[in-house]
Amino acid sequence: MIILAVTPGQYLEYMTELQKILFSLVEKNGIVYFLLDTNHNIEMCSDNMFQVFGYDPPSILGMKLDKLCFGKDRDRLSKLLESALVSKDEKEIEFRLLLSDRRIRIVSATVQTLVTDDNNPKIAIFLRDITDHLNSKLFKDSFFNLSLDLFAILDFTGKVIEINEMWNEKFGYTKEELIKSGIAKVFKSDERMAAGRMYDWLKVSNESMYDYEMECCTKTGETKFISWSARSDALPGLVFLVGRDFTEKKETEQKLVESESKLSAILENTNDVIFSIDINYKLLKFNTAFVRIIEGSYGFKPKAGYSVIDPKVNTLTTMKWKRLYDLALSDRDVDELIDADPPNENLKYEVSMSPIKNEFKDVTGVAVFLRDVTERFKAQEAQLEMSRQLAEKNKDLLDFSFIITHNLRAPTSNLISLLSLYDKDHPANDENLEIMENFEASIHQLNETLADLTMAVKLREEVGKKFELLNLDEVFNNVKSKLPALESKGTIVFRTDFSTVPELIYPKGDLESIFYTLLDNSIKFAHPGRECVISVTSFIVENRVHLTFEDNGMGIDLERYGDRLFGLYQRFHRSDSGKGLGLYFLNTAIKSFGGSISVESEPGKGSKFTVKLIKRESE
Amino acid sequence: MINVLVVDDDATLIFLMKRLLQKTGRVSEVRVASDGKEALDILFGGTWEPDLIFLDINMPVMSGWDFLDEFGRSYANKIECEIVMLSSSTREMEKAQAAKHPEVIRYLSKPALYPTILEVVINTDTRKSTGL
Repeated sequence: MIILAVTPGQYLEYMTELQKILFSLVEKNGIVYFLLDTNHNIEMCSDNMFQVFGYDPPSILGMKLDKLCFGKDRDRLSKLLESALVSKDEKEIEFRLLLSDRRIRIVSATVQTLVTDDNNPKIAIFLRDITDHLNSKLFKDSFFNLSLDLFAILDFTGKVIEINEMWNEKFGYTKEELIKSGIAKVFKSDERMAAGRMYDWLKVSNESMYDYEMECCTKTGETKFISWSARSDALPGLVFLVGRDFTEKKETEQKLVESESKLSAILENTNDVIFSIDINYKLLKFNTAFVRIIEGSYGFKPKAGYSVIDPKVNTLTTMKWKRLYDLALSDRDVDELIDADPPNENLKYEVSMSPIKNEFKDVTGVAVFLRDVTERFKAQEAQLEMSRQLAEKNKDLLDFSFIITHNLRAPTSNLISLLSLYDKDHPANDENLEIMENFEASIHQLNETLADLTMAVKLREEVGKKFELLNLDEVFNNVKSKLPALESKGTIVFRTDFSTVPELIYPKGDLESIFYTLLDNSIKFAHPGRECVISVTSFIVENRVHLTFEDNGMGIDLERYGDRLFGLYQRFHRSDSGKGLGLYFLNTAIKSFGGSISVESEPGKGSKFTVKLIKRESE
Repeated sequence: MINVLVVDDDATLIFLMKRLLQKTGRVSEVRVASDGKEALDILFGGTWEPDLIFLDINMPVMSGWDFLDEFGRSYANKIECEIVMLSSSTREMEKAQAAKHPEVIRYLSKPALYPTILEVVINTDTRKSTGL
């Protein structure tokens, strides 16, 4: 009902003006309006139709509004317009409007039927584009619930306005619980004060914070590491909060740190030397054992970047290492046993090198692993020496058993033959007498052979392998007094010189046997036409003790017998006292301790035997 | 009847061999040498040739092996003579080494017993008289 204070004519004029103002206001606010007839044909359209939806108003006059709808919205609009015509009420509808360029906008329409006096109703429609508004809402909701991060919108008091599903998933609290009692409970109790202060600061400062890491706690007490970002400057009175769970990353990091510290503890505490170099032999990384070894050998502390090879130096040590590095740099694995660098060259190292490669399989350096294996090496050497000695002994025993069978066989087989010739029926016959003489000779030979062998066995027994410090003068004098042939050969001149090496560590029995055999030999084969002169000396050559026994005797034709001189059962003179055993036994005994014996001789002039023994240090 | 050379440094063995060879009744003369060198000296003289040699291995001055080498070089084409090794060694190694010399027809281990010696002498004597 309108109360008029003016004339109806004036009123109509005012109304027309008022209408104009209202319509212009409506248009300015982006609302497009239409007037439809009862068949939904557009009779009138506001001018802003072009700016808002792109249609030129004259071009759509007379067209059904339904046709501008998209898909099924056409029917929905048509039905609504029909019902609006019947009920005359104001109605609302949202539908998709097809633009002239075929894009779609979502519009909200207000529909009102206008009834005039001439009973010719019109439908008025006001369209508002709500696409952007809807989009922003959808956008928020989608990301809010799609994200794996924690989203929350809080008001200034800290009260939860909106929160996403991740909070439930991460902390086990329902959305309702958090909305009711706040989010502070997800912080560990000792972090809550800090969180509160941070929140207060955010409210007043209008600033943002990023990646503020805090230890949080789930409903069941499990620890979660969350990195928080927040801003309070977007919308007045609201705080937007985003939290990212990095618990897994943190745990992996912690495990990595733990395993790295364990690894470095191993690397630092091992006695094995570990280091790496680049392709220019520059030191990359190394452990403390490496520092120790460098300080020990070169007297300085190594640093990363130092060169492990000096290209200007060409010493054996440098060449040794360069060869190994170059092998590994040419993409090969190295495993070798090497001597340590001077002054520790008596130490043995097992060196392993592996090429270091980048993702393209190019060699970019070498990882080096050194282990001191001196003790193991020594043990191995000792074992080798022992098995060598055993093999030597074995051969020795085999030969010895051959000597026994051979030397015993000769007289016993003679005895058997002699027995077969003996004429039992005529004991007194002359032939039997001769046989008996030979019988006696054979028995005597057998006895002598047995005595020799007993002596040989005894010698072996005395090789009790007890090394002791022996004075060479004493050994010589002791042996000289036992030489049996001394009396029968007339004058013998002995010359000794043990001034360079007066003492020697060796088994006593063995050393005496060396002296006895060689002196006895010189006397046995002394030249009958001259005074026998025997010289014995000792000296050192290349860490070996040399003992020489030189005589002016008959000498030996070495061209003929050289290779058999120290062999088994060899005799070279028609002498009744030689059985071909002495030099054989001597050679065997000397070799069993890693020594050697050699001879120089000229027939008619004399012989010189040189015995070379390993020089042992007293312990 | 054959000539026999015994090469051995063992006086008793020499005595035995002389006896055994005489006992066969097929030996006209036995000569002895106490080592390889002495044996070569006898052959070198050229006045006497053995049909059969009994040869020891281990002897001083010149061993049986050295004698065999020298015999093969200097006399194998000149003297028709068979060699029988007579050694105390029973090692297969030495039997094998002896077999490498074509003049060696047998390897006997000591003791030297009459039946064996007789067999060897008869064989040599038969081959000599028949020329086979």
